[in-house]
Amino acid sequence: MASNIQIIDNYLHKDDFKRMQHWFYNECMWRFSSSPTYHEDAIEEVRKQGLGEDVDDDYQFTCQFWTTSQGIIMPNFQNVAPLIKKLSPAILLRVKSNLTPMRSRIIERPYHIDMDLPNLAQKTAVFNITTCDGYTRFEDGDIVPSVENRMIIFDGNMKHAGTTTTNEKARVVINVNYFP
Amino acid sequence: MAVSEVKVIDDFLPEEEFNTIQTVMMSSYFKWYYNRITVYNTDQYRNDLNDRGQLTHTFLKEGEEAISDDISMLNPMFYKLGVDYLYRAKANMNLRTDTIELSQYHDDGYKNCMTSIYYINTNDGYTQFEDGSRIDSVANRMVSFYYNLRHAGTTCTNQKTRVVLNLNYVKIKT
Repeated sequence: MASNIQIIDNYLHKDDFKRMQHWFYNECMWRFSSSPTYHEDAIEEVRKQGLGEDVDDDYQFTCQFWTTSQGIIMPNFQNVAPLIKKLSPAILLRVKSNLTPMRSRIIERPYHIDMDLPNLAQKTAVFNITTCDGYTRFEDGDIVPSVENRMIIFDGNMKHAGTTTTNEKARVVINVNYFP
Repeated sequence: MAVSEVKVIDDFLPEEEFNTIQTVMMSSYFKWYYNRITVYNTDQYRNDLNDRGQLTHTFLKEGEEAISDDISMLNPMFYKLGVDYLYRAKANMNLRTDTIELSQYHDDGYKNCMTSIYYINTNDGYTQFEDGSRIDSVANRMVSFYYNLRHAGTTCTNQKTRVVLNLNYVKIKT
């Protein structure tokens, strides 16, 4: 595992985590996204990565908690507040969650960076709500399995990607982009 | 009630009204709740991977205060159906699967009323009744039957999602 990828298990207190997990599984309102990560201008890059055939076969659901244009989004934000409090960012850029429903195969999404801010010391944090056979992967080959209450923190300019799951009804992660 | 009493009306709403509803409900701005269970909310199904769950959006439900901001776009539908009292208006989104998967047979839990299913998109999913008869998912098709006719929905294989609107209501007496 690359030294600039930090993995912290049991990141939140168990009670805080279970409350958060319950909210994501039962109360969160999601928006349907028919093409996760596959922005129009990135399609060529996706095909170079050999993932072209997945473009038409993939989808996910998202929920926003913080954006640079809107700032805090209530009442959603209060449900991730324990996570943000512990992360203690100097500046928040974006907080967003993804729900990927179970599929019959693992779809590896294309590598990307969340916020295109070269030469700035931004960080990306991926917090896992679900234990499943999905994972977060990095361009150098590192793979971090989805384990509930696991935090993964890395340089925001590192290319990474998520996957679908085959052994849980849905894989849920929270993505945080921030300056530490 | 016999399945023969199921009423099917194609092109139920004028194109413009249908397009409004479809555009809103199929957009990335429409909000959905994730449900781990499709029909029966029991521990047995909570972790059963054969029940994939579904996404739902409740426009209105008797006894609950919250009403969806988007319910007014359904008014032409309520008017045309002759809705006198609405128990529930709820949308379901099922996600594409490799093969068609059938949910469990059920009624919607409301008594002495009508059930209608309105198809938001066309796909190879369907509504099936216990005698095996099926109604295909065709956009802008309305299917109506008495509350006690047990039915089941399916996933689809040829679209990313299958979206239907379920209505439970008392009809205006004529």
